[in-house]
Amino acid sequence: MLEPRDERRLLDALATGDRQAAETLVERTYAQTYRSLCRLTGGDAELAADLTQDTYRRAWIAIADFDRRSRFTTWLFRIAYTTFLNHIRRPKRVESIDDHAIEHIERDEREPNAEDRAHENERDSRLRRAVLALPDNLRFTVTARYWGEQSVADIAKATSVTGAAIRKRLKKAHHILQLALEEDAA
Amino acid sequence: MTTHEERELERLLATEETPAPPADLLARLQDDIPDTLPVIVANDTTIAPRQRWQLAAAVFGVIGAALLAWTLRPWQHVDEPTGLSNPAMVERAVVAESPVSERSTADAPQVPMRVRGGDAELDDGEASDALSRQAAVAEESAVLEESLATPDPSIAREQERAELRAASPVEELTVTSEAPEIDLNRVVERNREARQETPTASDPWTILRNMPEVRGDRINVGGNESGQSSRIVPKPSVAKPAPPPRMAKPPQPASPSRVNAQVGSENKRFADLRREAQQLEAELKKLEAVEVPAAPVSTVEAAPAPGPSADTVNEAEAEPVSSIDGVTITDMKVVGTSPSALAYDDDGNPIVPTIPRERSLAAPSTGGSAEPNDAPYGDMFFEPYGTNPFIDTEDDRLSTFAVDVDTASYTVARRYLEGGNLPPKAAIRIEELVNYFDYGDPAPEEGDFALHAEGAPSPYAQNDDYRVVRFSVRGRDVASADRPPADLVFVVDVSGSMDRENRLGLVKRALGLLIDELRPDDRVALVIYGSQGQVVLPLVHDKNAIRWAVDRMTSTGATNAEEGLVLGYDLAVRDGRPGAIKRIILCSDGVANVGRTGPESILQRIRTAADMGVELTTVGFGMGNYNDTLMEQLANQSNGRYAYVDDIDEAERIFVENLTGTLQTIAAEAKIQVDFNPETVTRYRLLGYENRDVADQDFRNDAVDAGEIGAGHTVTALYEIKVRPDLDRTDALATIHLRWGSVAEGQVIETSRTLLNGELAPTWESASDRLRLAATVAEYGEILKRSYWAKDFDADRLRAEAQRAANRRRDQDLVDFADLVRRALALIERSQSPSP
Repeated sequence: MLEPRDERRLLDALATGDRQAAETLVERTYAQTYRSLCRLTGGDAELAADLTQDTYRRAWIAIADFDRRSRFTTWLFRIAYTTFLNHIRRPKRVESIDDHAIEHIERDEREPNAEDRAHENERDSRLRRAVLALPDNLRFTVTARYWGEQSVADIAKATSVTGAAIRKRLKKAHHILQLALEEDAA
Repeated sequence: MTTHEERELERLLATEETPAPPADLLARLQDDIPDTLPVIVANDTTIAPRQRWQLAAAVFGVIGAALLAWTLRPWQHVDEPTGLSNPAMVERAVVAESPVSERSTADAPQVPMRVRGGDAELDDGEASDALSRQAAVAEESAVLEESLATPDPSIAREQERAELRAASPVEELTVTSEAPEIDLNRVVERNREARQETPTASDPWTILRNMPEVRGDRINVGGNESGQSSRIVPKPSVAKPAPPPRMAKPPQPASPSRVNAQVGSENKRFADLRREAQQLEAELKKLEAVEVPAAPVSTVEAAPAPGPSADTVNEAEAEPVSSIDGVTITDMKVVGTSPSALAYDDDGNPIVPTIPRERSLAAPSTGGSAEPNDAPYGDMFFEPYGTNPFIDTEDDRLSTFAVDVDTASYTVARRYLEGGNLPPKAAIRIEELVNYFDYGDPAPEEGDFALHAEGAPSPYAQNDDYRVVRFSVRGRDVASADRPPADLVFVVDVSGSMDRENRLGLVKRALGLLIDELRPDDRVALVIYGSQGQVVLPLVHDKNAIRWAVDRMTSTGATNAEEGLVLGYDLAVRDGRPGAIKRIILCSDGVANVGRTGPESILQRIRTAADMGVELTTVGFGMGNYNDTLMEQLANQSNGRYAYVDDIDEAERIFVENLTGTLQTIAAEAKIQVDFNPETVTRYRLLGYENRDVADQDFRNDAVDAGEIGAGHTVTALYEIKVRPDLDRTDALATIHLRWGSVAEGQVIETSRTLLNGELAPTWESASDRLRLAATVAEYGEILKRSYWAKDFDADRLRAEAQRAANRRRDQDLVDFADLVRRALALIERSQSPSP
């Protein structure tokens, strides 16, 4: 994990072009990034690893624009999230993920050991599908909070709204997810 | 949803097991680190803690000084009756507080400051005060520089200091507000009648009463100033006789210099008015020569000429204010009864008639219904426009109206319902409810618009012959990168009423969202108005400066909306770049005390500016003494749009998700005419657009004011029609014509689409989701409006339809809508059942 103090120190060092600092930053953050991508991809370890690599490549390109108003890990999650969305909807439009793309990932993710995990995973994958079908601002908030392990305060800072607004969004999202799960169960 | 369910859901979301990362992942990632790392832009968080403290101490010191200056202000005010200390002081506070300027004043000790205005000149005391303060600031910056220079070998420090030195010079600010003129010792007794004649924060209705565009009038029937009961009645088509002119009283004593300045500007204004009157007279004569619809009558109120600031305006309007060469002008309220009355009245006051906009000459669809204002919030202002009736195609086969893409009515109603109250009927404009939703109509493949038409058997009809028909006009999309750069002028109401419910806080956050969305080539200026209007920030690119200026707004004083708008418009017209989108964004609760000139003069200026390409977006905030009518009318008259923000999510919707649509207009003066085929359709009823009526014959008259459409916007019109039995599938039911001024093509274009009987869905159940949603939203509106046409509504069916829409498309807006429908129906059912 990356403590705020270390984060500041490492970023200061990074600003001077310190390669060692860059390596430490990666070392401290990559596990969390990988975990978020695993959850986003529904447990596809290989895809998550590829996307993690992609995420950091993009991050190095974009690092000059990082204004440090949000936490580094939140910023990184935003990139991971976008990377993931780009992956599944390529070359589709940006607003919503179409069902076809989601099913496509689902097939992929089930292939390795589909039979034994099928039942246990069913609720998870339904939930995941519901999360990915949320409107974009809710989807980002929910995935950042639960899958990206970001605190409400950090998400609030990164999206320039208040913590209360983030909690309100989470609540709205819960409501929609619950409806979706109930409907699927019926 | 119960807490238990919620916790369970959170658990499910949070405890998803993940495999350990692959062993080689870290090595792969570290290999990817580029050889040359880009430098991160330094900002305040990179300053070491010790230095941050010093910086904070310095900034606090400066802010303290500025605050002291503020507290001393009223006292100075009395001492220096020129009153110039006020704006100048504010400007100095701006300079002193700004962290940017702290740095730059050391390099450039001359603080650029220009003061403009009638007799605006700093006197010696003022100037030396300013100089000594400048010196203090410079000293503080020097200390700051020194502290930054303390040895700290890190290269980051060096870079930072270099950047600090290279910081751009402070923006040059221009003070454009005029000197206030406040006599604190003067007390004026005013009776109730006099108060009611004065447009104030508690009764802005007087403003609208005199506008020919507004078709209703309000009669106070009781209550006090904070909770007037009133009845809304249709305005009589003939103006009331002029009130007897008040007796002139001698002008108030004033210092000689003031009087000279006043008389000078008075003469100028008088000359202006005379010129304007002569022009209008000529125009009227021309009109008369053609054909004048039975003496158009206009009531004009030109309130007293210059002098009073908003603080004194109440008294000023009740009392005579000024004299010109021995002629005393009391108030210029004059009622013209016919064009020939144009000239000067007995007192020598010029009569300034306005030519009513042609739209206002169109016969109203229906009269307004008279209902007491029983709103749960005091002093709310809504204008009832009635409900469209069914019209026989034999009588009038054409239905013509101006498009409207406002959405405010939906959010206003939501605000009421979420507070557990039913909204007043007059707050409901069905077209604004229907247009709130995105129906997903496909965008045009080429050209500005795609027209869509569909229909189905009416779910609320008494028999089988009724159909619901939906026409939609979908504007082309414009990518954010493709729109021209924008010059935005935020005009923000910082009057005392904006303090309520933290309205100003919401404005700040909403504008913050907007600022984040802007492109680097966009510019923003900030004008605030309380007792006076004031330009806080000229048009600048620097987002940090804009954010900073927005954040430091505080609420104060009375409401001089006019001055704020005038300053905003002047700025946009003067400094706006050619080719850029020029837009005023007015953030207010609509409570307005229009300052020294009448509403006609604001509207005149707005219309002129609109012709020059400056548009106005009015964004409403707050409830409690909210003025819906003024905000809507301002936007209507200015080719602008009207939205109401009840929470930050709504601000996000307008300023973030739909920003390009909000800024980029693709069609000007757009009108719709639906031509029903009398062979197949016997009657029709348009749902909504009651105050958007255009005379049928004016559809191809491009001088008639109509509506604007932004990029990606969809305008939806719903009709309920009655068809003749036994129609063929190929029978045409209606043709929709759209006529608009294309911004891209630079010409007026017309297009049309015909709806055939065979295109209608055979049953309501087989109708498209779009149609069903639109019809459901309209029915919700009709019920809230207590429309005659929805008196026998089926609550269960409506609830089910709304829930169905939410389930079909898991859209947050639709989930909210289903919730609102449930709330509204519960409230209506409760109000109908006898109380225990």
